[in-house]
Amino acid sequence: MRTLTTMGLWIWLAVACGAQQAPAPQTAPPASQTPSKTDSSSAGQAGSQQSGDQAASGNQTGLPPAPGGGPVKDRPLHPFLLLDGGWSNWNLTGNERKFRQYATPPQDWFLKDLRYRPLITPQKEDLFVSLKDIGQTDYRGDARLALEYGRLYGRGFLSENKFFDPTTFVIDPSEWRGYGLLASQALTRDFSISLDYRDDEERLRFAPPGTAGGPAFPDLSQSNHYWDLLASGKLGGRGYAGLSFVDNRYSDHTGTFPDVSTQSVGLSYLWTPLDTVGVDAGVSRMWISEPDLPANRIDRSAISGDVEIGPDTNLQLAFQRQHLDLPEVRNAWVRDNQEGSFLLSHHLPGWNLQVGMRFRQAYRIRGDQSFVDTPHWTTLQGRLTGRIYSHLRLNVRGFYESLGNSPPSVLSDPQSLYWNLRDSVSARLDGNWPNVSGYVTYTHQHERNSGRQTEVSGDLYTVGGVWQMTPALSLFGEFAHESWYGRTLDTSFPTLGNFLPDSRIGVVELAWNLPRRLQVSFNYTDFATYNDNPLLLPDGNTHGEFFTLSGSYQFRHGESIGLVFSPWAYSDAVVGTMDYNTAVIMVTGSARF
Amino acid sequence: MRRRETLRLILLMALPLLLLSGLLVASIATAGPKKKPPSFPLILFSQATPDDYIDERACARCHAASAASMANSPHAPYMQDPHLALGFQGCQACHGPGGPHVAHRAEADHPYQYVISYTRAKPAEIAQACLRCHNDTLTLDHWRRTGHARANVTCTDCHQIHWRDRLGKDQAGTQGQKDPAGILDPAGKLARTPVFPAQPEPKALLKADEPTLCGRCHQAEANEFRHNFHHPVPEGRMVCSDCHDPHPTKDLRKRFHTFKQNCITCHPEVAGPFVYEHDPVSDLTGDGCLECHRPHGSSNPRLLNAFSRGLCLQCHSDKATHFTGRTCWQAGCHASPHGSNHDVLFFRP
Repeated sequence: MRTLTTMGLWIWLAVACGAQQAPAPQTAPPASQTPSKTDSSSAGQAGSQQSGDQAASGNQTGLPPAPGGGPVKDRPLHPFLLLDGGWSNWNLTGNERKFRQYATPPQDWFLKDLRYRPLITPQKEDLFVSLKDIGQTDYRGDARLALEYGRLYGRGFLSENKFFDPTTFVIDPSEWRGYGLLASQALTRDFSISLDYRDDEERLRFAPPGTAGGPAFPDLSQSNHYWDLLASGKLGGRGYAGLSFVDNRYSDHTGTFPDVSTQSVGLSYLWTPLDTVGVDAGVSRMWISEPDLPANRIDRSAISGDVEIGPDTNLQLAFQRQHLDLPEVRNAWVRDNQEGSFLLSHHLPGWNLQVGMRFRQAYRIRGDQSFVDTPHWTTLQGRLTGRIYSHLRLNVRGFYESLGNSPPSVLSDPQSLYWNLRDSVSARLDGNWPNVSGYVTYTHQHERNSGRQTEVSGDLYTVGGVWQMTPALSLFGEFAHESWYGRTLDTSFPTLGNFLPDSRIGVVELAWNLPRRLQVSFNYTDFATYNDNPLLLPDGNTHGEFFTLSGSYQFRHGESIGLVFSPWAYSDAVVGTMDYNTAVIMVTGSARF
Repeated sequence: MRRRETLRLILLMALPLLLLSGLLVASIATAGPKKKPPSFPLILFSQATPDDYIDERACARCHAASAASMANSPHAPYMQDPHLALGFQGCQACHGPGGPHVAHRAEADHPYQYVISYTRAKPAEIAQACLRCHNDTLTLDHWRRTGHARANVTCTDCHQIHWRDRLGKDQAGTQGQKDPAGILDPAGKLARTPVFPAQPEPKALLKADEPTLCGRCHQAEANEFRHNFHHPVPEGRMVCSDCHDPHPTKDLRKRFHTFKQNCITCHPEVAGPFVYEHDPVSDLTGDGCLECHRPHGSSNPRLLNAFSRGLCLQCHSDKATHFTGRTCWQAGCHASPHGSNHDVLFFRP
């Protein structure tokens, strides 16, 4: 069926191509053929910093030309139809669910890309359509339309996708299909309204539980319909306003979850009374309703501002509040969230410094309106960026967050479940030379729950760089490693530290573009996870090797051929039935009309 | 106790407002003229007379390739409207009035003080020039407040106005000297991508697909998509701007119109509100989804920040020996960890 569909599309396209009356692609007239070229003898006198296309010519005498009298009669306009099709084979052995975990590549004959850009009314309207993998399991279509010199603009997409919950069991694929439309009308040059609609249908099929039995999480068949209306633009002398309405309706056809309907309105205004002062404020109200349950309401307000204290110093202040009225929720007792912050930025010669503080508080009451507690978080943050030497740039940032008035747990152990301390520091060193650029990053994260004597910390390293060996040949390499540590009061096996695996990722890519008609790239990606995996579960001790060779050659008149060869190997050292090997071969060819 | 907390709350609310209003009043009181005089590049437009605008076909005499590629750009229709003022039409809408540029072209220190060259202008100057027209989506005041602006990243770092196709070859058929857009930079490229051609079309005028483009600077984040488990960006089911918005005005929707976090846009089944919320992870008091998940990628299934029951042990440390048979939510017990409408221990949805 899929092959028939693809063949049908090919036939339709062949007819469409025959009917297409597009002129041959025009090119800009060679400089040697333009009258202005004859005037270019003194181009060198115009300065030595001419851009590439300036260097072609330079009319020294007759500027500005009389309207209509110039050598360039009209700008070239290029309607085009591009057809790109091919053949693909997965050559797959092993676990297909893991291979198709996120998406499904094309199989057999397929139409890789059809893009069409006709001329409607020259230089007034514009239409662009792209259809990819039509007739295949996964496909995607995109379109853009601009009318009336772009004052009315539209954009849309249509897509379908099949994917899997990776498992050793044989299960049906999950499916998602959706489409979206966006239309925007400019009322004035500085103010527009836009309407956005999106429809998603999804069928989720989950892997069954393991040896312990018990009910699996039920499959879902859900739909989500979303639309919003936004009016935004300049309002007032130095103000920018936005007014929006959002409607979202969620339904689960299996009845596992209730239907949820959400509407909200929001208003925001940015006002800059002076070049050195700006104030941004916004309010919104959201209503959430479910059948047979009391309606929920959430109010949000936010105000922020920044002031240039001096020529090199800027202060930002922000405050936001969220008031929640969720009568159907019985255990999440938050009724108010407030957050206030400041950030001071200062420019030093060659360096930027930022220091800031954030204070966040949750005000919690029970459903019967009785008071619970007020946990609050205080965060200190800083950042320093600058050049160490002419080619080296350093970026250091970090934060320290502490929790006060930690809320107790309502479970059997009353100790708080929250981290009472979090800190992180990150440093990045970038180097840029004419043909080489590189970077080294290091991040340390740490979290602690003192009451439970629990700590988790991690060290993350990344080293990478690009070497432009010749203008046409570049080599990219990157290596990343993560180490995680954890400890808790109960050290009996298996304990927390046994569930925090280390991992690494390595990438090497060689890209060759010569002479811009031929492009070849070799990409090798390798990842591995080092895991104690005390429960001998799948997906814990994995190793993947992904080699992808892709190349294309473009002929003189725009036709091209392409090849993708991807031998991939994925293995799970504990559960061998998760392994797969594939050698995807994809041969494509395109023509442009 | 409660009174003290209420007082703290009021103070918390009032303090930033007081500070802000104080600074506002002080700034207004000490400020001189309300607006600074325009500087480059806006001064080119503010001081231009109608005679300074030349017939734009003259531009193509010297800049034939640029003119041809512009004609095929999605940007083109917006600039051809004859109802627009001269300073908003054609080449001169972006590059400034052509008259002074032509008149001074032979001078030794010419020509970049009389024309806006986007390869030479400073980031703030480029933003000023672009935002003359794009006030309906972003103002200069918005842009100045973004992290990108603070890092000197400007419009043309991501957007390619003179349109080039994916091979770096412009529509006029001319060959570029060097990859001007940097679209061939491999840092953000992902090995899986070529195998999944059904990728979303890059938004108009972006230099490259979003993972490649964003990955040029955000290499560490791009690298996270190479983990065994990742959001399906390499497979083309998502792009960076589905979650992140570099234009802060559009963040209005994300900031105000979601209950909990952005994640529920694509995962509505975990949005709730549930009768029994998993309190610390429900974004009401904790860090929401990020308490348990790493959004770009992870070596652990379901993008978790720990493997199997280790995730739960980080908080529920007293449950280390509680039914160690299997992962807490896959053992058939706490099957609905995001929240439940029926069971306080999340035994079922």
